Amino acid sequence: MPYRKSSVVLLLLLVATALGWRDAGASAYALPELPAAALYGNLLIDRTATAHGVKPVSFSHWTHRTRFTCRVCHTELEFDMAVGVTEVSCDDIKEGRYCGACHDGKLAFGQQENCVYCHNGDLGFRSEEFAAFSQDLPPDEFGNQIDWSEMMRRGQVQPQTYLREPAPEPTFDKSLKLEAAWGRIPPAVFPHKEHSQWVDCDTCHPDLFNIKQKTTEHFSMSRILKGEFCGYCHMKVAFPMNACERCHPGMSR
Amino acid sequence: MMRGLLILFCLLLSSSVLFAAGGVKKKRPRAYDYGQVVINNFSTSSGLSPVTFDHWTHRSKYTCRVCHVDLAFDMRANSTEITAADNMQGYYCGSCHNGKSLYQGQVIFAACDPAKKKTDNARCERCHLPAKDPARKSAFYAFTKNLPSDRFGNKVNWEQAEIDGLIQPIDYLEGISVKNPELPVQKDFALNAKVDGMPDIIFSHRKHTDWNGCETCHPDIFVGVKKGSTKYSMIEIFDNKYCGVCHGSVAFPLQGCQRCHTEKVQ
Repeated sequence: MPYRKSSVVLLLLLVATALGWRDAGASAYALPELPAAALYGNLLIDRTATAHGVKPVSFSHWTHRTRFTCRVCHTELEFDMAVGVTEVSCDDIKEGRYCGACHDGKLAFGQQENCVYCHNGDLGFRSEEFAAFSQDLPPDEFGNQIDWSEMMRRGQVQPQTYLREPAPEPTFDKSLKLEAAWGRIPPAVFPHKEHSQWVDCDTCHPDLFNIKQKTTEHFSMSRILKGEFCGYCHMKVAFPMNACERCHPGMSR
Repeated sequence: MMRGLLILFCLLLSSSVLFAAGGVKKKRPRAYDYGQVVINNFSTSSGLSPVTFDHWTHRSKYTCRVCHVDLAFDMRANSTEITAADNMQGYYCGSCHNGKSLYQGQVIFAACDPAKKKTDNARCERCHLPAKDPARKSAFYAFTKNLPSDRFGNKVNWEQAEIDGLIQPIDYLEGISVKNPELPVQKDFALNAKVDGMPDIIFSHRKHTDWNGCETCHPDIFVGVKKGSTKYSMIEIFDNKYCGVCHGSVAFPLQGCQRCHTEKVQ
């Protein structure tokens, strides 16, 4: 039986692969540690700053998202969703593109007078203002510890939905029930409406989720926790995944 | 036994690759790069940089069908296999880029001139771009500054620009184009969305024929003109088929859902 030895090796390989997957699954379900509320959604952008002898740009989502919905920057102003990918240059800003669409010295502080307002290399820039800022906003347990959706529901703050180019409001408002892969986990409910008050269809479709539910059936929590699919926003800016029951309403912690 | 195990193992490995689609956002081309095509059938092997072709400079001057029907350019980059000899004989790019033809009274520079001198390098580099040229970006923003804006793609509403008379694309090349008798244009009609709650698509032949005539789409992309004769899905369109042949690379991209899913006639 000349095959026997290699068959055993193959079988061992199969078992090892299966075990490897199981382990990868187990470790991936450990939720990542969250930064302090004032730092959640903060970024340091250093595409070419350091190379040009200036400090990286600090950007905080919380200072922006009470004024503008996600779609203003991520659709209308063409900001990518990954840090340091968008080729923002000084000239672009001067000519009113990217940050320069608002930061022109009139609508918001300009580029000329306040370099260190952005180029400060400090991830916690303006953190000391956070407590006063969040005081009257609906509280939440994780992330910025601000319930941004509740803020929208209450109409407490109404972020602008566009700057120059009005976007037609997405009319598709169906909620989807997404069955969990594990029998014991109750299904996740995805509300289109809650999302489309912040983002346009193109933020998620077709790159993150193809439009058909069945074409994204394979997306798993372990991949979401790696920052794919829902994790694109719900690990970095939107409420983090520690709040299981917000997506899986039947779940108790 | 051995073969079965091997197949099973390969299947297990490949399944993780197969399922890797989706979940990650692709980087979108910038407004000035949208519709840019890099052509490199023979350039590099001839010691030249690939050709960088910008649709926006051309579509502001000519309709789609002039190049894609009359000049026989395929709709996919690198499938036309244009040679310098073709251009010199007045085919493809050489139909206009011959150093003689005029656009608004200006001579159009020649592509691949047989009488090329060393001093002509700058002219060659207008198409055979040696490196990314920041001047192209500024030229784009200068040109599009006063054109009606749009949300995606070039961020220019080309259709509106034409309606407003800001651009007047030429649809006929003397000595090349053939004047066909015009066919009556079908009225706008609705294509029913398959998902409940999704607004229907209002398709306008009129808007399309202005730029494309009939031949750009029929019969290759859509077999018949009759509604329902070609079956396709949004998934296939996202995969650059059907509407996606143009509306993913040159015409306004598919991200602008509400541009087609309008329900009411625009």
